[in-house]
Amino acid sequence: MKRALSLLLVLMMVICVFVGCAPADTGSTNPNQNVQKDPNAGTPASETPMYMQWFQGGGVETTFENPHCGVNSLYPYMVFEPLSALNTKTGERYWRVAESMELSEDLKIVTINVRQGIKWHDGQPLTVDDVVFSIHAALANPYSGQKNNYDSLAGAQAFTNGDTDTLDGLQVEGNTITLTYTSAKATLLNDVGNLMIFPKHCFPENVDFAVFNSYDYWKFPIGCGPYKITEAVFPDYFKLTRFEDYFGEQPGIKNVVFKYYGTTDAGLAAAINGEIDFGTRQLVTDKTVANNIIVQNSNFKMVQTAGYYYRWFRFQLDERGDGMEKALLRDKEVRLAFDLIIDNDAMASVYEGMAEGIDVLFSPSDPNYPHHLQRESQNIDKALEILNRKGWDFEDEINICYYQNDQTTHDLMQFVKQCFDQAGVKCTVYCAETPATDPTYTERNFDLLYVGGNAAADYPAVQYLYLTSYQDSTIGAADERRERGYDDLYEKYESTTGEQRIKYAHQLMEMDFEDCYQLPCFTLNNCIIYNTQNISIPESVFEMESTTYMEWENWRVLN
Amino acid sequence: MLKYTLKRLAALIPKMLIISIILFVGLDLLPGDPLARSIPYEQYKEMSEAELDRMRESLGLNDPVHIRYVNWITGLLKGDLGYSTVTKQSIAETLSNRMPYTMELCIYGLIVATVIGLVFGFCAAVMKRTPVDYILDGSALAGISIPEFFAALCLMVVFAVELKWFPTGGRIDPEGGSRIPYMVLPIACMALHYSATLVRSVRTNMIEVMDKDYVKTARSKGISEVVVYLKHAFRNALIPTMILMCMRIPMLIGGFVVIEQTFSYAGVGEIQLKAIKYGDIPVAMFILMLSGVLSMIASTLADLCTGLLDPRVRLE
Repeated sequence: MKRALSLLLVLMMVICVFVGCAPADTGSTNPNQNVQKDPNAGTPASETPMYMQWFQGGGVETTFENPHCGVNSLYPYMVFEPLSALNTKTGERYWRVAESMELSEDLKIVTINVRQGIKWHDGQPLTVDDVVFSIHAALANPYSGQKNNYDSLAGAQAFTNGDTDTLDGLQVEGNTITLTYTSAKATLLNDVGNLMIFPKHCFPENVDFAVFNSYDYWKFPIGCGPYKITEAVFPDYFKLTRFEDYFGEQPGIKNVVFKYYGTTDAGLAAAINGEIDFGTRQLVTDKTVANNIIVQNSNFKMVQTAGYYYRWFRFQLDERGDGMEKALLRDKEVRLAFDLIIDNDAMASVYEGMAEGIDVLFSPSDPNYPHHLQRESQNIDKALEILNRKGWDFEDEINICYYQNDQTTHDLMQFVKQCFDQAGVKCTVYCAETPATDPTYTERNFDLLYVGGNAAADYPAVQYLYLTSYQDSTIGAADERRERGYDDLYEKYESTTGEQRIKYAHQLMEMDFEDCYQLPCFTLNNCIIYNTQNISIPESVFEMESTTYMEWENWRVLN
Repeated sequence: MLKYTLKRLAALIPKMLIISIILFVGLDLLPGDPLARSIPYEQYKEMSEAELDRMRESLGLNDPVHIRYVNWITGLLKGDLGYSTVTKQSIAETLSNRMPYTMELCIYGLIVATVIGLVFGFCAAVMKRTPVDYILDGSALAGISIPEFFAALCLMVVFAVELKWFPTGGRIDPEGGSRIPYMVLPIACMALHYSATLVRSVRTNMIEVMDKDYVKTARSKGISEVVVYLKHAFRNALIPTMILMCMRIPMLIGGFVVIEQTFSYAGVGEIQLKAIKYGDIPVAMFILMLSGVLSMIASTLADLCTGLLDPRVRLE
């Protein structure tokens, strides 16, 4: 009996020790406590890493994301280099892989002079061929998000169809590349300048762009940016260290570690625990979330950055998948009534100073904001008068769909429902958490879609988001809009610069304001948090809404 | 016994085929264009119908459902698991990154939970209707009742955020430190739930067995209480407990969806949830198929164990 009990006790002790023991290890569980602190912390020589969250759209599995297809963390801006970067606040352009770029007067030809002496992380020199290869990849990769920037190049169609191996609109002479487009576009310098460059020699000779994202290169990508990848453990973490042969100024932080956290909540818990030093929109969706982190970890600081980010409703004027479309929504007065029901200013106030109610999709802080286009924030009586006059059936239920799965948006949509309830209009709000698989979203079984999006950066910010949304198919009623002259006006807008461009944009905004195809709600600033005890970041970084130039040379790791 | 075993194993084949057909057809019936799930919506809507059709053709989506099923099942049998439609990465490679970690977590978790469950269940039965029994039984009841996600969050808040003894999530220390701290909280959370079930099961079965005639006979023969408890009561009480333990084997693959998700432990359970959420049908289909196969194997194993321990089952 005694022997049996003793054996049992010993077994229990062994198990307990195995599970909860290792006191020497438990002290090292928090990476920020574990790392060796450099006595010269704060100088560029510090070995202490900065910790960031590894976030990829499709998930972190066995390869890194291709920056041509979408950027979800800051890694591409550290590992790769674009042709040029833009300070969206000052309009200053920073030449990176391109030594210079020019746009012809007719806005159809871009000339790129490729910088000499740049080295890839494997020591090979960057050549013009790499830039050409990257343009081909951006155009021919079926998953590329940059196709639109190159599909109006001369011969682009034949190239993507596989009819030819070369692009007629792409000519190379020495270190100069000339891109010839078939239509004029004022934003070509930005569009082309944003292109991240990949090393041609790391891919097979006869590369198949259809499977470009599946090449082994993406398991351990090589770039020419200020940092090179030194270790990648999927799907846990990867490490970066600064690239000694980088052609630009050396970054201030020597080592960076990106760690994977499967969910936003897990990332927030890690931030509170001090395991992450820096968090962007992927982690901190709004000010409330940032404040929650700061309350629990006072080392964090929140910074609001200006951003041309908007939230608005789009009407669904095409047929609904379930055949329940509301014919009356094709009447612009009815759409106006809906606008008068939704209280934009009240919606913006939920973001505690981070958002501002708008009547057109443009930033009110921009000098070109059309202040003459103003509408009452809410007027239920007027809305009811219109709806009654138009014969709206108050038993008819409208379906509002949204896809932003955060608590603030859930609350906002409940508020919108209350606005409609107040007017006696029946309404259902529905979150399509994963739009790709949600029938409400994919089959367009909604009348109003609540969307969010950024305007492309183009100093002085005349790339009106409104225009890009106009092209979107969500609204439908394409014939109606064509008849109204949107297409002609848009073409004129695209092919002009300066004051004339602003004038066309204003005309388009006036038309949209009048037609109410979409109902702007508010513009929202970005929210960034960082651990002030561990890192310092230059204030100027936060003044830009564009992340293509992050001034890595001025970042520091502190003690 | 051999005939019985072969019979049970042969019955697995048609069952597996039926499961594979139900899974394939069920997931195929999901509404929406399968292509829309494999590329971002913003890109999808920009593509022309010709481009979309070309892509459908290259992915074999234009074939009839039975052809696709045959292609899929023959691929599986050849070891070709296919590619994720969301990440475009090899499913075999993705799982090979995750499966060992899930299995490791599960094996350790099962060992810890089993030892705790058996010991505490035994103690509760032996000390029936004493304060020790009430405490153990009450704790077990609480362990079963508390949802896994809540227990996981409580453990995280106390031991990771407040006490900072363990990391909030992850499975590997980038600095090369021990992996044990990353496993403690997920294992504790799993053990809390599973050991509670075992405690209740062992206690109930032990108490039931203690009233059996053969136990009374053993006592009347003057055999010591320890031998009665361990040799006569505990051993017989283990039969239903063994079945319970066998039925936990599928967790080795399916993992613990909630626990892995909460602790950001990149395992099979986490990717299974993600695959379902993002409509990654090939990944979801394979993991569900594997879980189904493993569940059947576990069930067969439980039958065989029961047959081995109780000859009456074989005769029937």
